[in-house]
Amino acid sequence: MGKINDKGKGSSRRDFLKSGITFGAGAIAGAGLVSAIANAGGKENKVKVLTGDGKIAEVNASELNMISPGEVQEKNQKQGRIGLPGKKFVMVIDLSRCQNARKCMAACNAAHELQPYQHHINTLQMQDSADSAPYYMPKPCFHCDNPPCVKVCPVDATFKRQDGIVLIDNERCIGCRFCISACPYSARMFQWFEPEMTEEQKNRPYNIELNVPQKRGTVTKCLFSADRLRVGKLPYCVSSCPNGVYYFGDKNEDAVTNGTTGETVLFSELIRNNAGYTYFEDLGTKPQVYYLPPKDRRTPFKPVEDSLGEKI
Amino acid sequence: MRICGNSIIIMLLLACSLDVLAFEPWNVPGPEGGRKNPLKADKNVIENGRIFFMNTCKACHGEQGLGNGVIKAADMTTAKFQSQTDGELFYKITTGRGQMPSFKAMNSNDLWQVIIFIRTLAGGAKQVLKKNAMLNLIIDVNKPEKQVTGVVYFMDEAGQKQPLEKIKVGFYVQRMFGLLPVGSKYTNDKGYVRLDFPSGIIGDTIGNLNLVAKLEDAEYKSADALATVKWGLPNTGLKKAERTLWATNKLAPVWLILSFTLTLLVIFGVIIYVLLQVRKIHRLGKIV
Amino acid sequence: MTNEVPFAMGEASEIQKDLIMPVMKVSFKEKLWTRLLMVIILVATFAYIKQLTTGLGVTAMRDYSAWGIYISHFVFLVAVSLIGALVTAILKLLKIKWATPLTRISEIISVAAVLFAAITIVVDMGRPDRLLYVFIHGRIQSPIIWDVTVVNTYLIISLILLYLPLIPDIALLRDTLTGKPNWQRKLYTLLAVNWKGTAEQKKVLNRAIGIMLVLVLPVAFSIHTVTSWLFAVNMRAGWNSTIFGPYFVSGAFVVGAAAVIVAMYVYRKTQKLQDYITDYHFDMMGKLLVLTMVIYFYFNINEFLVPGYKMERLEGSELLELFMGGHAPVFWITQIAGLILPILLLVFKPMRKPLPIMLISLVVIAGSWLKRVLIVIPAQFHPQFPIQNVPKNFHYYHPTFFELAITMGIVAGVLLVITVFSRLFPIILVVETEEERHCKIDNKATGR
Repeated sequence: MGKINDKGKGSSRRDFLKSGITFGAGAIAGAGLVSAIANAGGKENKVKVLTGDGKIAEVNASELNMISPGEVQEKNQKQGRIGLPGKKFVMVIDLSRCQNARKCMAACNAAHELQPYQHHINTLQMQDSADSAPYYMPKPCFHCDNPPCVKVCPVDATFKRQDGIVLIDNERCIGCRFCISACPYSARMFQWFEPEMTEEQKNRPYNIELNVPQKRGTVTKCLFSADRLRVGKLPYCVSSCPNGVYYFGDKNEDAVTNGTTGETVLFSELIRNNAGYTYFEDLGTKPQVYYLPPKDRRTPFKPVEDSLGEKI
Repeated sequence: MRICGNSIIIMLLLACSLDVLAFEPWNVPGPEGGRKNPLKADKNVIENGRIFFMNTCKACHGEQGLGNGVIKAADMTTAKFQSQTDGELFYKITTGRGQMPSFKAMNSNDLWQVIIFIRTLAGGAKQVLKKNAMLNLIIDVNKPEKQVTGVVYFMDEAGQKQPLEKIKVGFYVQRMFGLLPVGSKYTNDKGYVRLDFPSGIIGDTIGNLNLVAKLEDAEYKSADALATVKWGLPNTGLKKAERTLWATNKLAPVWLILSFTLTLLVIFGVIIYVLLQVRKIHRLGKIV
Repeated sequence: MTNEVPFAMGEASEIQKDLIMPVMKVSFKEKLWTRLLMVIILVATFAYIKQLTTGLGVTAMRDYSAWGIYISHFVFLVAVSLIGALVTAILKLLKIKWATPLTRISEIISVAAVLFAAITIVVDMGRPDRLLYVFIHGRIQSPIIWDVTVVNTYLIISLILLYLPLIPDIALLRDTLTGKPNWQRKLYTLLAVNWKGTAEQKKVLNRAIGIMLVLVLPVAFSIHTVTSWLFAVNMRAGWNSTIFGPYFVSGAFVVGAAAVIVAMYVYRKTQKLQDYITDYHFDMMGKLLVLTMVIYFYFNINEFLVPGYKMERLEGSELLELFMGGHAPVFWITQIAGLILPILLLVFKPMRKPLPIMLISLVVIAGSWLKRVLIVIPAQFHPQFPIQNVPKNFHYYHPTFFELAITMGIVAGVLLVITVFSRLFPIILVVETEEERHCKIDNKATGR
């Protein structure tokens, strides 16, 4: 919970900390901010802080002003509801490349502290009809432009930001689960039980853009890793894919970047050249996650047991 | 870690049951291993192979082929790995096993090119000692044409600028998560490279773009040059929030607010009227 | 008449004595009944505390059945509550006199049902501690806000509609029940609002009742229509229906009418009201029940035959599961035993005698309850994408002890409210019945 005392003329290290910590506040959730652990033994009273990019730095305690978790949370809530002005995030998933590695699911679950059976992103084994070819399909939230889930929320707990991301505010959600019923894509989950975490973890300031700490009795969903986008990084799933399945970017810039190769391409061209599509357009939800058809798959489809040992 | 027979692939296995196979030696049938690479190593082939590698192999094998990508994969820089024949590598790339996918569907020319590039990884990146070069950009903002000129040179011992010929310069514009290629050219004998900037690229709200030029050559260290130009289309993405059914309560559609409030007003108006009647009954009772 | 109870007898008529009697004296059976209800409510309270401390995970609800029997029970209670509007408003506006003794029974059923419908929704909430957010942060685009508004409005209107015709009766209680405890007499005095039965007071009262009878109709229809929209606005197979509003409303009249018949039977037995709730009333209610069931049957045909003919991808798989799959036994029980057979039986007059019609009504009520489970749950198991990578118990929904206990507790709560009410107030409109009977006698006497 550190904030740099801005009064002193900034040394370079101070500047580094300042930016690092501001990022931490916005981005890495409570974990970012962090356990400022006072090191009582040291002469100068050093404090360890976790910066926005996940590095641990040691600084003098005197350089930090403690701000309360409540203030951090308030800031998170405010900026989280506004979003990134002028952006319009879009994801493209190349089904021909997905090999069911499930690194996206693992990275997502770790970042959002989900139980093994909860999936903000779920890699499905799809077969549209008896004779059509099977394929793997990673399915995040589609962040629809006409979101049925947001329409029905009775308390403004779930909302669509101007940058297109549909978020859920666990400090507001009353747990009516209307949004779960309304989402045709099963993108939403409910915390049926108390999420397993220590008392300390539970008391972290809530970060609306990471939805951590998860709270019992509220809804959770894919956030397009809004916390990472705020610091200019690709979402957790996108950057952890080993197979180049994901492209992610700003539709307003007409560019998407592949999370594996780092290659940036024109969004419109990628969709045009590969016959990109969205799922169930007939529902009128206007999904913002596009798919490239599972044509010329590099590896054959092998039906596997699903992640919890269920035969499909 | 375990050495797998004569195929000499070192694999660090993830705790993944699917990969039991990988413990077995990976034998390549004799005739397959004997296949010759139809291509000869030259600058172009290596560069194409590098691009293919960066797009397809880097994720697992790492940028320098050390096997340190997103997952643990074979280290391509070891002597044992490099002792495989081109034919053997080609067979393994097209067949795939465990976490290593089959790239059978890819163009075989691309695969032979990437094999040649993989050879340049031998011994790791340390051994590559690239030379210094400079890249400068010249942009005449007064000209109506959207044209960017790059100059590539190196400083000789005498401290003179010496132009470099046939050096590839890639041009990009900065996007939120990466660099979008807008073209690449080779320098002429004076070290110049000229690009007509494509139209239709979207910039910021007033059309400003961050242009990045990169020196991309196997012999020379990469060098970047940056410029901000007003050659883009204005970004019109920032829209005013509208009143919709999915907006927040503050932006509820007017028809909904009106019909909701009016209905409630009428109903509760009547209810209050009826309750006043009850009070009237009470008053009437007092008079009697 | 026994004279054990203190009664300011003097001017009390036979009718008054008959109808006020139950308020005077609490029988042993009734005490036992109340205790039983309280035990059930206690068990439910413990179950609810467990749910509060552990989370909604104690129920069988999971991500692919996010709504369970709480919601279907809510729909059921809303349906039951509609009967107040039917018997009180519609029949009264149509000037159907035989319904007069039944109006208060239906009104109290309405009030109790809608009150506990609201409680059921709170029970279903993941964060009941944030209940006030609904009012602080309410978002009028959400059908839940419409539903909350209309449920509360209907509760208020039903209470008023229950209260207004009670005023003369309360005045009567105030004047006759001198031996009751102080608080109860004070309550009567307060609620009687100086009722003296003057012509002017009667005029004002009748006017107020008339206005409420008209007002309750649109609100009553909205409450169930909006409840149906909680489902129909979702793009889910089985809910994605344009006739959900009338389908729900017609179903509500069925279960409401059946509930009134059962209540009539019980009150007739326990309060010895044979002279007031006669076989004729059962006969007429039986005919009304048949009418509502035929209308509901018509909507059922529309609701199942039309999509069943098309067999769209998801709609088709959902219907197949209802017709022939795992839900088929329950589905056919609700359709045949809960709807078709009762219609066929009630066409015959002997079946409309008190006991048979009461038994049939019980079956109809049970069928209606199950029907609402079938409306709410199977539709959720046919999403657009396959259900994968989740534990086994995410693939089905079998209610747990906790949610069944809580649901039972809510039922017991409804019954307790009705029981307590009939202990404080006469369940038949005393003054009005009296006046109507005098009218008849007068008519006979004058030969009109």
